Amino acid sequence: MDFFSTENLSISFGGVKALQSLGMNIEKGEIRGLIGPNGAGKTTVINLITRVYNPTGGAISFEGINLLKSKPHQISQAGICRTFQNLEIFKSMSVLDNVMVGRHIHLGGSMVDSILNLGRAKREEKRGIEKAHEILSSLNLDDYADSPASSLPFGKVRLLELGRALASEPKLLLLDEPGAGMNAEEIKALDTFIRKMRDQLGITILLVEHVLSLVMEISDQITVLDYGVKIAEGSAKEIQSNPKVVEAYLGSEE
Amino acid sequence: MSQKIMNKVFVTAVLVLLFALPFLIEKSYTMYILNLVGIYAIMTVGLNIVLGYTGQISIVNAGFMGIGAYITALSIVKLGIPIYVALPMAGILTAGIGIIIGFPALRLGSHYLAMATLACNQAIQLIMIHWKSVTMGAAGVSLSSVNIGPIALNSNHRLYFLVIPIALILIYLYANIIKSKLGRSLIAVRDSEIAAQSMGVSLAKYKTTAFAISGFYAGIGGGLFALVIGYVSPESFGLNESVLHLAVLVIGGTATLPGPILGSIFFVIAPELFHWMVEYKVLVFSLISLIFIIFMPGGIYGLVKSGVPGWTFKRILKKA
Repeated sequence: MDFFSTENLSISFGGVKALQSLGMNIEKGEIRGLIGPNGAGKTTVINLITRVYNPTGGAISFEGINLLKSKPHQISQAGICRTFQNLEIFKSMSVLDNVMVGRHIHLGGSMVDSILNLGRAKREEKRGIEKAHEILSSLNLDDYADSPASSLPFGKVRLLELGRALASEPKLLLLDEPGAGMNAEEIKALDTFIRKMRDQLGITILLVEHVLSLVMEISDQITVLDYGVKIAEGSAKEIQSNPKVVEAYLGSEE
Repeated sequence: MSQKIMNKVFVTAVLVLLFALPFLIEKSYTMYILNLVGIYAIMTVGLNIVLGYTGQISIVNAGFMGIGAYITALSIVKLGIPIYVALPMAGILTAGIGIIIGFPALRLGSHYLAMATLACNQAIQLIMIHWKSVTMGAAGVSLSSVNIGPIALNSNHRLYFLVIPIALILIYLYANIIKSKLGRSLIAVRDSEIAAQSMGVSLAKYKTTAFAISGFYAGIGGGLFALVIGYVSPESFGLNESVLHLAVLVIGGTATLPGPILGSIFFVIAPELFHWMVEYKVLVFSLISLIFIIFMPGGIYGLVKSGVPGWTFKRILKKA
């Protein structure tokens, strides 16, 4: 059984074939890079996996489950969580509460418990807050725990996205350009952090990224998309010397 | 820590004051006004959950209020059900209606949802007018001398001891809701549906829950309204009333904890101080809420909290 795989995954918007017959296998514990020029369909892949879009064809399976049968809010329950390229932080909440929403699926207790602040809801809320502080500390965000999320500087918002996703304790984490807008130093910290997530928490990672140096550095395998089609797959070395990839990024020599 | 103690002192002081008021005030009319403040606080607190915190535009609050009022009045008058059964029933049944009306929210975006809920309000009012065999049509239902066990609720002073404790309990629960997992999920739905979903928050579940809660609160508020006014008729629950609920919320401070309570105090007491307002109630409060939306979006609570006039003037100049 594959850990995660897609088969013939396709989607069209109107006449535009945003993704065509993508087949991709990700192994448990892998860091997989997903790259490609603008509009290649990278974010589309994430949106398909998280069920934001319905594919026009193909299959997605995760730990033997057919993900296409899940509703969008059931994906995190299955063990997949994501971050957003365009930063979808809950702006009016505190930083801590953002992470607490990330823990949503682990907070039990009925709605009545929750309203009356009793029983299981109260206990798990308390444990959730401890856990959230732990996550924030690991991202050096704990000083901001009670500040409104909207007051965070840009780079920190990206980290908060990461923290929120981590709070759901995913097995597969989909990172949509986590390094966008970060400076070299922040990228370096991100690099370390992504490795730590894999090595210490055992999280498998799909990394969509424009910062190629980061992808080349940490990915075990890299998949390259161009105009919705997979044009190459392999280690960083293989990708860099693949003429098709060079052409997609730089244009052909003619 | 000191903040916590301050809060406790404040809450205790308010509770003591609320308990002492009926012994200090002799005038029945004043008690009637205070009862109305309590009722409006209940109804707009519920509206704040669906509209303020969940971001789902709901213009059906007066419809919910009417359903609660009719269920309470009819089950007491026609069926002889005791009030302590009738009132919770009003809340629960209206919550059920809330769930049904919440379904369009799963499909409809902001403006369309506003239209849909507005239409529901009109439909509810029309049903009240035309379903004469049950609702007694435009003539309405009179409630006289309602009893709780041996105690007759025949004065505004006595009704106060029913209305205010219920209001306090419901406000306490509302504060809990906002701070709990439930409240966080509602706010998450408002701030980013896509992110909420990918964290495992079901939009369907939480949007309908928000409507159910607002239905419950407006239903109980409507039931108490029927008792305090002593008479229920369709005209009290029209579009005007729904718009006024919106105005109360906006004036008090949307999506703030004390906003609806401050708004209700202002809404009920202002016309008592300035009698000319009574006749033009809808006009006056619509204008006031427009002014608030443009210049003081935080409402009265925002003003109290940060004393913004200087800031807003700067903002006005910037915009001009």
